Amino acid sequence: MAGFGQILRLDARLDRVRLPFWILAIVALPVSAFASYETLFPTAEQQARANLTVGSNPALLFLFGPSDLSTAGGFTTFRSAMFGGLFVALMAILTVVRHTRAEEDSGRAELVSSARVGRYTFLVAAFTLASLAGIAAGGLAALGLIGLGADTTGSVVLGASLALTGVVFAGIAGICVQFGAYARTATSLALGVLGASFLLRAWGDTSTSLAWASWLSPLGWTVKVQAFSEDNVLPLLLMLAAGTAGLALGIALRGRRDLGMSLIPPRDGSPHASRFLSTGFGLTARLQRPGLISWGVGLMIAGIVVGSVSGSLGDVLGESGFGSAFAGGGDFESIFLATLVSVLGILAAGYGIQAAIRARSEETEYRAEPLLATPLTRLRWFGGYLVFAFGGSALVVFGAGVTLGLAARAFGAEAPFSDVVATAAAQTAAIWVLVGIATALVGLLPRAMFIAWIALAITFVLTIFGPLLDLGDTVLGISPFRHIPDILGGDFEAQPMLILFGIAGLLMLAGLVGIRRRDIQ
Amino acid sequence: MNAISIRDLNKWFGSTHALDDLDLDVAEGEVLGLLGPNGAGKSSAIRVLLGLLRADSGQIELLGGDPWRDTASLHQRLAYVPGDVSLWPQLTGGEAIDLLGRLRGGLDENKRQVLLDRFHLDPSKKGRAYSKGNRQKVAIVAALASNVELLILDEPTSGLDPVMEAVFQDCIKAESAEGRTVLLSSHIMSEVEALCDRVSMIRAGHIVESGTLTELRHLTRNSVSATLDRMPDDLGTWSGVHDERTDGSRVTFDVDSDQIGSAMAALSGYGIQTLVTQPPSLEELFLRHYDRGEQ
Repeated sequence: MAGFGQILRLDARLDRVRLPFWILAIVALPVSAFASYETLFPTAEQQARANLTVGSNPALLFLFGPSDLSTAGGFTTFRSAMFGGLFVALMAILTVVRHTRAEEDSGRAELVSSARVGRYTFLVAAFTLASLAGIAAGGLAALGLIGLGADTTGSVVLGASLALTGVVFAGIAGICVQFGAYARTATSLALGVLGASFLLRAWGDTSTSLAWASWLSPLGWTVKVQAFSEDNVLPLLLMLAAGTAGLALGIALRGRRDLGMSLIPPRDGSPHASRFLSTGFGLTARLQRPGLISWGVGLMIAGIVVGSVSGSLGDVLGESGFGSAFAGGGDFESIFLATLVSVLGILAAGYGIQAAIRARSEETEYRAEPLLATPLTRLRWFGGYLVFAFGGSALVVFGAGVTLGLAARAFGAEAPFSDVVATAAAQTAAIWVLVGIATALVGLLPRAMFIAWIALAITFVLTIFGPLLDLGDTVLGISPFRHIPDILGGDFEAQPMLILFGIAGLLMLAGLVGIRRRDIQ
Repeated sequence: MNAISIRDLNKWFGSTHALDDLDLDVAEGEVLGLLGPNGAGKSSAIRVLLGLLRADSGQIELLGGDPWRDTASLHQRLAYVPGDVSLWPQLTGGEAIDLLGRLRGGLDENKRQVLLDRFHLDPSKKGRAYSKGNRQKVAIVAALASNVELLILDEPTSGLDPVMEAVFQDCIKAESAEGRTVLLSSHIMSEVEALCDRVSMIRAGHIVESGTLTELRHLTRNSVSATLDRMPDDLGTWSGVHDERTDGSRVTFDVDSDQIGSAMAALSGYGIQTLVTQPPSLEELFLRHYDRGEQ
């Protein structure tokens, strides 16, 4: 552990802009929710109605867990426990990978390790920084809420649940970086664990027979805390224990591998390239294949989970007393499917964005330069990435629609298979607008790639919280997903889809023109 | 006929004037050494030639074409070795060599094998497993196995050990003997002295000196060290003599190359016992140039 203090300070300094942004975004979630509750729902009647609307919306139950919107505190927990927890977890994962595996990839860790720095220092310092960032976010959120007059216990418990979610995922990331041979692999592994915990929790929360499943998920614990209503301490203790255990396991595994290597040593490969690897596209396909497969499989699993609970939503919602608000199971189901298919679409857009951005990271890592010094043209080179960004995202959402439709039918949902698949396929128009933004950025504003992720986040917030917050059609219409026709509800209009495709086409064109004209790094 | 001909090339990065009225000629079949300190603009000039950067102004001709407009067809005729080779972690060195070669329109299978043997490179390792030197070997083998007209090499040997450096020099001599044109940017003076027909020195984005090594030497000073019977007391006033120092019966000074004859004639009047004169090494030329530039 020699050099711990210096490495921690170095890590903190490298993140001195990034982490405050994350922390600010996380703190804003609960604080803005608490502050806006009275404005959004001024009368007791409106508060009760909000509670009923959200409580009887199975999609929100699936996404955020059980909720109680009858108080400002309950609304705050609904808006920020699961959603904020996801952000904290992401922040923790990216922070740990950045200061461990990514440093090894770049060779900087080797340089620093030759100084008086212990073998475990990087891991422990990264874990500490990620945990401190989570604690800062949770602590500031609690202080903000208390400042606004929220119940002290509830505020502290909510803050603690956010902070400890960060600690848990810092521990998980600390294990993943020992297995993944590269930063990218380690991040994918940790995100896979995050996705699996989310699905496990969502599955448990929307099913009567599998309710125990959420106890197996770290994100399940985040939701089980139920700050401001139940204030459960047990899940907090579980998170603390899991985070510590994760760190200990990470340290034990780190002791079993060499710097820069994974636990599983890389094997030698072929001394000759296959026939497939003769073109720029052949290379892109080789690089993009693992990502397409893991996102595709991940979204298909998500489709199965969504489909499997869609038929029995009436049971779980009826049990919690909200069933009477609706005529029958069919309504639950269509609200649920329409929202969840949009969420799958947003995830598919996430795949598409990162596939397009991959071209930019090949450029900044100086691997595009030798390729573009051959007769391979910029358009062909970038075009290969766009095949995956646009084609891959369409394929991924279609695959998720198919598994969702099959699972829904197997578990007794009423929606016809063909409508489910058609709805999923229709998301492509909106997905391509977001992927188009990423494409245009690569060509025109390559230094501002983060704008694509901000666009994705705005789309998600508008799609999920927009209708509840009564933002009005103009604001909601910013999200391209808002304009996808409701095929499950029996409406189909081609015109809005064509407009979306047109916008996506123009954005793609802008990106292609840009990449032809600008300097290559 | 020039393989490369650049006139008044300017390139700005924001407020940095990276290339400042740069002129550069490389004749067909010659090996030109591009010398300059870090950040002088060597790589930027090469990246303009490769069509990766767009020139802000100037005329650039590469193999008779425009590197920005005719990129793909020109790239069929050249191969490039970057100074900092970054390989794909999931590809083996052999796969990277084949890919780059095939993209250039195919590579010479026999030559590939010969080069792998000569450079002692194992083509079945994954990108991550190679050291810096071995990554450079991958790029060198890929470039040389393609049999192109023009080789553009940007500090290609900065990670090679002396044995491999010698192999590299042999290979470039063989390429040159076959009539290929080579643009070699380098820091390694012995490499440039051994390989290059002509040298261009670049400073702050501008070519400050160009010529054969003999020509360049002529522009500068020889160093003279002599032991004499009597000491001249007016040495500082002799034309072309600089930095004179005396130590007992020993005198050392630098003399402009075109004044060396008259200096020797004058010196002989003082009874020369020993005499050593040295032409400036490329390294000295380089240091003198850039030291002078700093002042």
